[in-house]
Amino acid sequence: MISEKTSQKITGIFLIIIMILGYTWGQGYKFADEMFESVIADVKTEKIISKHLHTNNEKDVNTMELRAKNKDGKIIPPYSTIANDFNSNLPFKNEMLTLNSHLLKRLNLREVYRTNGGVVLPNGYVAGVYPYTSTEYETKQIEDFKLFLDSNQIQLLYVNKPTKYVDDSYLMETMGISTYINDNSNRFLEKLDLLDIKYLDLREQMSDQSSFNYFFRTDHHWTVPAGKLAATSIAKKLNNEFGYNIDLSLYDDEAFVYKEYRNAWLGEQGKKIGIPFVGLDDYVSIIPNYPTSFNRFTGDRTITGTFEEALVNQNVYLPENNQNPQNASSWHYSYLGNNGRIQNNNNTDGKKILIIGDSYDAVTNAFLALGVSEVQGLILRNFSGNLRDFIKNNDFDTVIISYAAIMLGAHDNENSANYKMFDFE
Amino acid sequence: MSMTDISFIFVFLPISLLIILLKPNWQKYFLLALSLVFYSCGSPKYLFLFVGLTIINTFLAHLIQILKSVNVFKKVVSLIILIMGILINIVVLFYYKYYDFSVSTINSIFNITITTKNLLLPMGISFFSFKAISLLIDVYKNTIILNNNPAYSMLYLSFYSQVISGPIARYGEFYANYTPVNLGKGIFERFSQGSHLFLRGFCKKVLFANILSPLVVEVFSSNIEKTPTATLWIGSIAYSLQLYYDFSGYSDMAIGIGQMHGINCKENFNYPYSTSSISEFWRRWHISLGSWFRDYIYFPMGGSRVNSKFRLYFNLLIVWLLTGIWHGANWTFIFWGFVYFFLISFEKTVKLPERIKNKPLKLIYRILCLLLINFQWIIFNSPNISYGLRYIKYMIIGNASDTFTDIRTIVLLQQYGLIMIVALILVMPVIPKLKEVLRKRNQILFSFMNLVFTVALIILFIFGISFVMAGQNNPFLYGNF
Repeated sequence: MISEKTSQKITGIFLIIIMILGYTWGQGYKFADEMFESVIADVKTEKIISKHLHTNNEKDVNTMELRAKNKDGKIIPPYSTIANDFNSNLPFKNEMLTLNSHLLKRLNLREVYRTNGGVVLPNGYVAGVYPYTSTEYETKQIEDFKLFLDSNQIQLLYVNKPTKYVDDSYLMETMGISTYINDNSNRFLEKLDLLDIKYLDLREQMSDQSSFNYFFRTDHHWTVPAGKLAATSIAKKLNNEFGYNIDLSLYDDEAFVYKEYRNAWLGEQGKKIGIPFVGLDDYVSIIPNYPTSFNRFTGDRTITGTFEEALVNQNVYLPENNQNPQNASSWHYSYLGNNGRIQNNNNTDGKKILIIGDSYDAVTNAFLALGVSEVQGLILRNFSGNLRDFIKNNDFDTVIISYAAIMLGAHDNENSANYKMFDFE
Repeated sequence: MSMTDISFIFVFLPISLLIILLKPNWQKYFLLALSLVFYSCGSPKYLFLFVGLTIINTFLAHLIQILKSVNVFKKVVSLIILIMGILINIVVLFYYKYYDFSVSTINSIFNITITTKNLLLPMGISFFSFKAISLLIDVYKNTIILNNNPAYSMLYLSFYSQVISGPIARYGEFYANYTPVNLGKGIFERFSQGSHLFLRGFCKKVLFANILSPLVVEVFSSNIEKTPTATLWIGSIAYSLQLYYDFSGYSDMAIGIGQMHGINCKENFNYPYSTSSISEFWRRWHISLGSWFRDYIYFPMGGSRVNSKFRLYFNLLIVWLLTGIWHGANWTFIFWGFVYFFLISFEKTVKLPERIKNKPLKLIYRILCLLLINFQWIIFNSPNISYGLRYIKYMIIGNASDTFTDIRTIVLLQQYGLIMIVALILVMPVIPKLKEVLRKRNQILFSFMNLVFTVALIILFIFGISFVMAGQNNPFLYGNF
């Protein structure tokens, strides 16, 4: 007979087993040491901060600098960081995420990661939801920047990169959710018109088929064909309106080798929601079939080689690096165009372009570099120097601000990683 | 650190439970030390304040006990110490919780600008203050005899599982079984009882309260003038469920952990939504707070055994206004408390539900009570009274949208409908009643049901762990109060 007491004993044994497993398998003993150290450091830090606040203005107190340090002078991370690390490094985390993904799917919970990953749409794509923004800050910033570029005879082009849906009403019709990303873009581009700033709205270039086809299902980035299409569109725009003479045949579809990988990888959004719910994504890599030669400069390093050697990290696609898609590197970042300088050795007399962009340009810049002499990628959220000095010192012909529409309004939130993206100082 | 954190379940809890294996005489010291570590994880800024208040209250409580005597002078001194102790706790509570609210109110009334302090609330200050006051009063009234070792009082005030959101256990019940002899006996049985409660509470919090949380946040932050009526209803019912599963889940976990350590605590929730009246609801919801107000405010004022009706209602008014204020520094809570005063006074005056003999009418009254409780939670969760009242108005008579449902209502129901239905079933004492019936009628089936429920609880706990590890974890709602 199974009495209440027997039931309780079964749960007691279960809890003991689960705690022993969690503690030993998860190396809780290591965490315990770090936890005690960080908790003591948290208390000490609070004391130091409160002392400083008595004698200094609150804004002048850098709480990170004041954190308690260990004997070696290294900052002891706060308890919250230690706890997050413990959670992230648990050996059974992937199994638990998979279980959770099954549950989310069965329970039809499509919006659990609405604020930090996106919602799972009925068509299986994970898409973000974005609030309204006035775009006044962005307009003012770009207006000032245009004056600076004009005074230095540098051309400016703004490229508006879409999100997975090019009509906000799509989310309302399918999920009943209000989103403003396209509305924000429309209003911003209207203001650029008034300021006489040239722009390229890539939504128009992607209207031949469903906009979803240009994006990964499980990642917020666009696919490689979409990145190539964007580069082609930019090249056409530069030819038509900026006096460039880019050989557009370099972008013909026949001039490339396409390789398709089916169910190959999991995007950043998919990693949050889990494979059972959203499945794996397909991937198409594109490499030119004509001779190419590039130098790519990042920091102190220079990599020289063909397009696929210098601008694509093909190791990312190797099966041995994808045994566990949940932990594998992002395939989107296998293209390396968005940070550093790319020099086209087959076109040394052409023009130099600075692309102030975002992660989408990892792919776009690589393809754009096929038609020009030099492409310098720059992501402002990672840039700590003086942008205007940088531009003056590098003799660029054209500056392209190439932003995904999600950058509009990022400045409304001080904690956003993209807070600085329209800070062109 | 929250009791649903992975680091708590896989590291802190196992370490704390190892204390059970120590000599009974040592256990309290280790538990006290771990409780301070736990507090530091959640509120490092206020650790010294917390330790200071714990020491002061312990010292004063022991001083009152030492001065217990028939000697009039000593009695007066101990009364002064009691008043001093109560004042210290109230002043600290007022300073951290109500200073800004009071200053803002004064500023708006007199049109002046006294600067507010924007103070961070020390973790669990409302619960701590009430425990400390009960300790001092109970010693003064000879209701309890403190153990001469001050570590007992300090552990009572700072015990980690009760420090964030109670329950507001009393010293007497806290240590009812906590003797070296008892601690050595039936360790596993005690641990098992506690772990059963802990698992149940964890599942309530993670699988119901946390899942319903985004729905509640969305509806309560939407433009209620344009939100369809059905969505408003779904949001308010979801909040009533979320609050129950969140706080009763927390209480189960807190009580369960206490039981594992041999520490006693009465239940804090007794299926409150199965109530037949408003008064009964408050005998089933947050029982430790209700009994605190009853024992330390209502009864000392004369309770219901007073000569005049006016005095009775005055006593009720004070208790309910204080209950409202205790929950937070906002007019919504004061209004909420006042409405409960009105509803409970009405029930007392009209003698409801006792006067209703007819079963269908009883059921109607029960449904009406649940509706009123639901409306009250709307006020409770609103940024201001006007918002809360408009929310309720739009639920009843509709709003400018003039629609009952829209696509969003359907999508929300598709996502949360099943969880809400299960949650609605389980807020009623369905499982205990089913077990009771089976126990009497069919022992084999009863055994089978016990096994099924136990296995289900274990599976749900693993599901819950998966949700927490996937990052779907929220702080406990009552941590804000």
